[in-house]
Amino acid sequence: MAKATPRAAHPLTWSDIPLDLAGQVLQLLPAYADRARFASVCPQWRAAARQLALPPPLPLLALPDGTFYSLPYGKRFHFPGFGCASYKGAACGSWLVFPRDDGCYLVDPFAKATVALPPLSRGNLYALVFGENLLNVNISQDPNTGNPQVSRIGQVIKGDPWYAVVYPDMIRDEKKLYLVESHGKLLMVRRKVWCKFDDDGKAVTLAGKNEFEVFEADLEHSRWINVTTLGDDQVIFLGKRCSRAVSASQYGISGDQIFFLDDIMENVVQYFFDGESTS
Amino acid sequence: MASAGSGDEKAAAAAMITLISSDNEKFEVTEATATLSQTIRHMIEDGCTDGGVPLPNVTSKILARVIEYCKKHATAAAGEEGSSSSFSDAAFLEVDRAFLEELEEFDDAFLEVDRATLFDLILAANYLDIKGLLNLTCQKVADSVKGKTPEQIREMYNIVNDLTPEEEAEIRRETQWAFE
Repeated sequence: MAKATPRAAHPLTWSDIPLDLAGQVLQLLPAYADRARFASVCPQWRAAARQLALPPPLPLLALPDGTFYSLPYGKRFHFPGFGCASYKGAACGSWLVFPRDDGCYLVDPFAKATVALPPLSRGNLYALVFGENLLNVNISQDPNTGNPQVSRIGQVIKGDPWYAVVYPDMIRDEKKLYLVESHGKLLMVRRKVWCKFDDDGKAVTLAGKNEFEVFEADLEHSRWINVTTLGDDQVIFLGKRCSRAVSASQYGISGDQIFFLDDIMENVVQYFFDGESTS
Repeated sequence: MASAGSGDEKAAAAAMITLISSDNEKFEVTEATATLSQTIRHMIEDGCTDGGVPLPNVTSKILARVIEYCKKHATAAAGEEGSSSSFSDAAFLEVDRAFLEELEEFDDAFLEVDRATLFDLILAANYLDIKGLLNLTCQKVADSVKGKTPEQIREMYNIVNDLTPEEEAEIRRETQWAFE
């Protein structure tokens, strides 16, 4: 029989929790804010949060006024300085995209780092336009300048015409379209928002009820297929500037859900719904 | 429970395994209980459990708790297997739910321990490779730090803040927003 050896003279404590075990805990913390706080406790916890390959935290929801939310918390946070209040671009990962005359640049509002966008890589760029047509945009390099240029725009799917339904009392459902990739499939989300208009056709009540319909791009047959579920493991986040699908199970949240920004008031001055959405 | 009779027969026939804690205390458990630990399962498969399984990294206090967990979860697993053949689907679901509820209550009560014990349970679950127990204990830690500031977490887990001034500055720069 093997003799039991005594435990180490200095038993481990919470501040020197083995990295892999800290990782087990971190995996169960889906909120960006909780990960950040975890990483600020002590050097060992910090090392775990910074070095381990972890599932990405839940996305931050960035609003154009320079505030953001760390899901699933309802608390409003503020981007630290950096004039992010004027951010009107897009969001991509933890980066905000700002347009400038000579192209686009990215800002990480937390690290306060700025980088210019790298050259476009080859891939498929899809665009969805208001008529629910799906376009495929080919990007190539200009042989003379080396700058990326659009070489061809092709229509992949021709959408069916969609008409707003007009209800009594000047109520009409307006639509917003979103394009999002989920498990390699392209999904078009048609969001219908009930709006009330006055006699001049100006919207007076915005963002009443919301209704969502989801369609999957059938590229082979050039058509949209209505789907009734996103799948048990998919959750999609819809934003005018950035939409994305994430796997629900890795965050311990239930799947088949749509999160969306109630961003209709943004359009309040010049009120129209457009199909500005790319993936 | 309809499965009790067959379960007893199985238990009578089951081999017993002796686990030996770091402070040399011996625990006799059924193979079904012991094999919730992948580490011990492999030792049994390799035929090196005669004369007992020494566990030099686990004290008797912690081993007793771990065995308590394994016994309960091994029984639940056996009960589910037994009941599946003798109940209609609806009744089976009912029993299944009752099992899960009971198990959940057990897990909640099991986790009512001080922070030092919780830490030792995590280390033991990891060393013995008991997935369920590792998940359970890590979830407890995760739930306890959610929404807390680093200072509150340090207090809760008795951690001294020995971050360097450089690290502190970096944290303030990058993630101060999260502590507001």
